[in-house]
Formats: sequence, structure tokens, C-alpha cells
Amino acid sequence: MDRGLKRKCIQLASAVLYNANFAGFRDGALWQGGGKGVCVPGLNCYSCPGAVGSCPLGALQNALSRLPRKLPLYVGGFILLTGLALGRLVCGFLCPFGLIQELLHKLPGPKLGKSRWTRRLSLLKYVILALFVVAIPVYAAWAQGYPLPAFCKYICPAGTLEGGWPLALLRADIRGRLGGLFAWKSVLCILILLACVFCYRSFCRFLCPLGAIYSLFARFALLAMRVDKALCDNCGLCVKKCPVDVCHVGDRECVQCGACRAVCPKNAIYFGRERDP
Amino acid sequence: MRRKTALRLAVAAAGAAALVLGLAQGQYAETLSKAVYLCLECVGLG
Repeated sequence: MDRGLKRKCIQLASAVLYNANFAGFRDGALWQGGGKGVCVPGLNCYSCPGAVGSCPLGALQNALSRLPRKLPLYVGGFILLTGLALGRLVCGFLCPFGLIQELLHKLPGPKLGKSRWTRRLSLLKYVILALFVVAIPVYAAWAQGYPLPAFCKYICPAGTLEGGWPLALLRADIRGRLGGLFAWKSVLCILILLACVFCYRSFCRFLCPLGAIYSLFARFALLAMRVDKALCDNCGLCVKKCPVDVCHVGDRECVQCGACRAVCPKNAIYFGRERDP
Repeated sequence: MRRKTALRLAVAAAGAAALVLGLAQGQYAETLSKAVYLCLECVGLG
């Protein structure tokens, strides 16, 4: 099987596994099982009627709002271990929202290429991480005494797409409470989804704070795309053909999709742990 | 390569220790209790 198709199958399988409470899509009731106490690696809203696990970003924001009484040890430990083992492999293989963005990009329309501007814009996700995932939740809990998961509340398109819209369709009690915030999140989600048609994985590249966290592990994640320096002739085709804003294979922007591997004329790119020199 | 291995071991140890300590502090139950109820912020209600 073609590597690209294999990756799509893994992405689809992870999306189905994360959202295996199929009855939830019929009656709008959230899964109540113990699995919800365990985070999934990718961005997947725990208020999706199908979700059987917890969203690491949502769990992190809520854990941070318990500072300084409690450190976010449980979810922090999970993210450290996941980042160490997989890094942004999670983005390329195990994120349902990443799959949705890739499928949207297959729709016909003009496609925006990468440039130094998109590379600069990719830094925005670190600002969103610092402000909306860390600073605002911590400040709100300290100053006002209640949790404010600011990324979930004001930005997260996965929450709107997987949680807000299906629940609004399925449950009259939720439809009756829709207001300005829902409208804001819906407009933002539509804009993000539209952007993905024209610009490959635009949410991952420019906005996703979970990708920003995992990108911090790029240098030492165990499983990643790597270059065999003995075979590489520095032709630069890998970076040129990469759909995201990498400067070299496996850097912080690399979502481990393997597009570089397919075009390398020297077969110098491989996936896995480092080979001994 | 040795530095990278040492860093990996340190991160793995820190991650495992944090996970176990978090579990001991009951943070699994806190995560569960947030995730099983509707998150009003996530769906855009509050």
C-alpha cells in the first residue's frame, strides 16, 4: 500500500478510535466511561458526543487553572511522554482535525504556497499557546477564582466542529442557549475550515497550540523523519516539496507526513530512530 | 548523541514521575470529571 494512503488509514482509524461512542452521535449524550480520564494524543474535543477520551489541551488548561495549589502533573506528564515518544508525529498521524484539514485541502481551488510570510506566521501558534492556553487560564483562576479555558472558549475550531455543531443539531436544550459566543466560534471555525481549502493545514501551521507544544520535542522525539547524512547530497528537494514551513527535514514545523521521503532521489530520508553513525 | 540520550532519559523520567505523582494526587479523577460533563466553553455556550 502507498505510504500516503497508509497514513490516511492511520489518521482515519485514530479519529474513529477517539470518537468510538457512536451512540452519542444519535442521542447527543456524552460518553461517561473511565476512558475520559485519559488524554488522547491529538486535538479532539471531549464534548464531542462520540469522544471516549480527554482532550490534552482542554485538560491542560483546566489543570493550569488549579495553580498554584496543584501543579498540572498528570496531564503534564502525559504530554511530556507523548512528546518524547512521538513529537509532531501526532499531528501527521493521530490528529482527527489534521485529517479534516488535509481532506479539505483536496477540494479544488487556488492553493497558497509556502513563503517566508507563512514561515513567520507559523510563530503565531506559540503566542496562542502562551496567551490562551497558559497565561489567561492561570490569571483568571488567580484573579477571579474560576477556571477559564481561553483557547477552548474563544478559538478552538475542533470544539465547535466536533462538539458545538453536532450537539446544537441533536439537542433542543443546547439550541435554546446559543448566543454570541457560539456565533463567534462558528464564524471562526468556518473561516479556519475555508482557509484549509486554500492553504495546507493552516490551523496546524499557524494556530494550533498542541502542535506548538509537540514541536518543542522535534529535536529529540524518538520517532521522526531523519536524514541519512551519508546519503544526502543536499539537493534541497525535500524542503522544496514539503507542504509545511520546514527549514530542514524533521524541524519544529515538520508534521512527519513523509512527503519528503517520497521525493528524495537518494533515498536518504527514513522514518524511525537515529541510525548509528 | 550522548547528550541527546541523556536528555531523553531525563524527559522520560520527569514525564513518568509527573504522571505517577499526578495520579497519586487524584488528578485522573479531576480530568475525568471535567471530560464527562458538557464543557460549555468548548461548545461555545459560556
